[in-house]
Amino acid sequence: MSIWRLSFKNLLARQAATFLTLLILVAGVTLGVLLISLSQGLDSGFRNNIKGIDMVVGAKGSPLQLILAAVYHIDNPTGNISKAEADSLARNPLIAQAIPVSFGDSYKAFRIVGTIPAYLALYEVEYAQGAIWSKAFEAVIGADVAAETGLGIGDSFYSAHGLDGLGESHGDHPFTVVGILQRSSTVADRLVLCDLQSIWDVHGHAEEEAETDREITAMLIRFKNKMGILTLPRLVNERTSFQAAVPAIEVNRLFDLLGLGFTILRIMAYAITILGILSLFASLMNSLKDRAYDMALMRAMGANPRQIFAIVCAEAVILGTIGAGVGLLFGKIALWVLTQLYGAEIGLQFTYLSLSWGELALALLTIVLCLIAAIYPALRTMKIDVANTLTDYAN
Amino acid sequence: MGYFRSRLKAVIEKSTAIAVSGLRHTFEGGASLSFPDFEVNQNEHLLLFGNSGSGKTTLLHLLAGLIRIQSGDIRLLNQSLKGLSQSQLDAFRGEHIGLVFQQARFIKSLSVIENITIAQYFGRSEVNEKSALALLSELKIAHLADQSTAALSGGERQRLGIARALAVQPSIILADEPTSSLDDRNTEAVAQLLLREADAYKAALIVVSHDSRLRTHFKNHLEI
Repeated sequence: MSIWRLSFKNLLARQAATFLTLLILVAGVTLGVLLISLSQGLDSGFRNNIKGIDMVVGAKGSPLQLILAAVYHIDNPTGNISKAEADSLARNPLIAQAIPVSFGDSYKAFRIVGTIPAYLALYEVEYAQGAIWSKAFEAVIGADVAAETGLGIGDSFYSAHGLDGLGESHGDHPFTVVGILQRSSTVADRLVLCDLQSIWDVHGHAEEEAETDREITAMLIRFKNKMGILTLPRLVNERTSFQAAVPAIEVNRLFDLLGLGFTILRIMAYAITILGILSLFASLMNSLKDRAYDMALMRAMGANPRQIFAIVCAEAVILGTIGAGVGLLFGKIALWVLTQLYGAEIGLQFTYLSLSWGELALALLTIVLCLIAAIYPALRTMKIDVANTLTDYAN
Repeated sequence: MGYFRSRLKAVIEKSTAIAVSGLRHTFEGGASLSFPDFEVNQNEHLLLFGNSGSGKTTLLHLLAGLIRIQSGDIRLLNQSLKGLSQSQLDAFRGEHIGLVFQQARFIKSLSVIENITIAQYFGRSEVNEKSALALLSELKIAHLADQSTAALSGGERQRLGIARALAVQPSIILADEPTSSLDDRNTEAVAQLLLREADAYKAALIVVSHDSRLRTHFKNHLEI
């Protein structure tokens, strides 16, 4: 028998109140964990995909849309641009690398992106099977594409017009799978990649078209050095028919937009946690009278007031610890479920296997708040009049 | 010779377990009680007899150190209670005094045996389940060890109440109306048990009661 065991048994004896308090604490911590991991996961997920892309050049329109379409593949493109003009921009001495991307077709809702091999290097992907394409209509597919469509090396498929997987099929140009990528937790997991020629050929007019009329959707650009960011976006916007969008700026803008949602969630998490603490406080105050006799008995057995104080505080700490622990667990389970359901679509990976400092701080804060809520009830319990309490109950 | 004298002195001092002198207590309302002086030796029993309102329970609480002494003094095992702080009183009570109450009540969240071990824990003696179980079987309630105290009958509760008082092998046992809610048969049994266990532990026993059925069991009576 020790203070901790006694406190634990006391909690068990007040099942209903203990369970209710625990439930609210768990809800608060779960929401808090979700919030922390979602914002971190979204943040790192979005930033992972713009590594090596300093600027995106595409048709005029919304810069955020251009980034969402050309980098994250979750929005429609703003339009097409001339490949010749884009190539001439790419020769600018401040530009280290320019990767053209061309898309508009899909296979079972997975986007088919025509590009150059450097695109694969951008995401540092490895091959699970096969290798890069060597001619038109050879395709490399992402890990999720392979898993969800069942396509293997040597299989062929037809692309469909549009990005929703419902468009008309391009019946005369089958693609053959020559490579399957390992999972990289980037957008590459959900893309079908091929050379630019395949995209032009699918639309059937490549042979007649002059080289100069060819179009691409966007160009992903990496600068030689930091100087590029100062001059190139302005240069593109002023001197060409394209628009330049800087992913870092657009992602920040996106997070500013999401910020309000996160703020509301954060307030809710705080409110629920505070409700849990208040529930604990009410439960301890409520039980004051009930266990005055128990505490008087313990004093009669030789317990000193400090031990009585410790018993009440220990109850709060136990409850807080269980609440925080279960909340962390539930939060992580919820994150795992979210990752399974939606994570892949935008290449997000939530940290459900490890604890971040923020989550640890949240758990500790919950325990400390529980302890603080226990101090007043504990003081009151400690100060009961032992002799009177023993007499009152005896008669 | 010096050694012999000091041994003798120790024996004499040790044998006086409880000594009350000039004890007065004034309540907040202004009513005041004064108690007769008395002494109880180790291995002796005393029945403090009095009607309700005579201050029996107050005297018992003073003896147990649950109420601070205002004037006069109580010496237990040659230690003046006046000189002890609240925490020291708690520690002294836990270690040396076993208390038996009129209504045997227990810590609801704990089982029968845990109500014994918690007394050992708070009494700063070694928590020992074996000796707790031995105590329960001494009082013939060992078979109830793992049950909730709510399931006990009146007689069993009183037995457990006595077992709890004995948990720390006290030198002093104080019982407050231990029989007033019991029938004749149980009163007889509880009285026998208290006297027998006090002897077994060589403890000084004080029973305060207005229950005249107890008179025949005690040689020493004191009216208050």
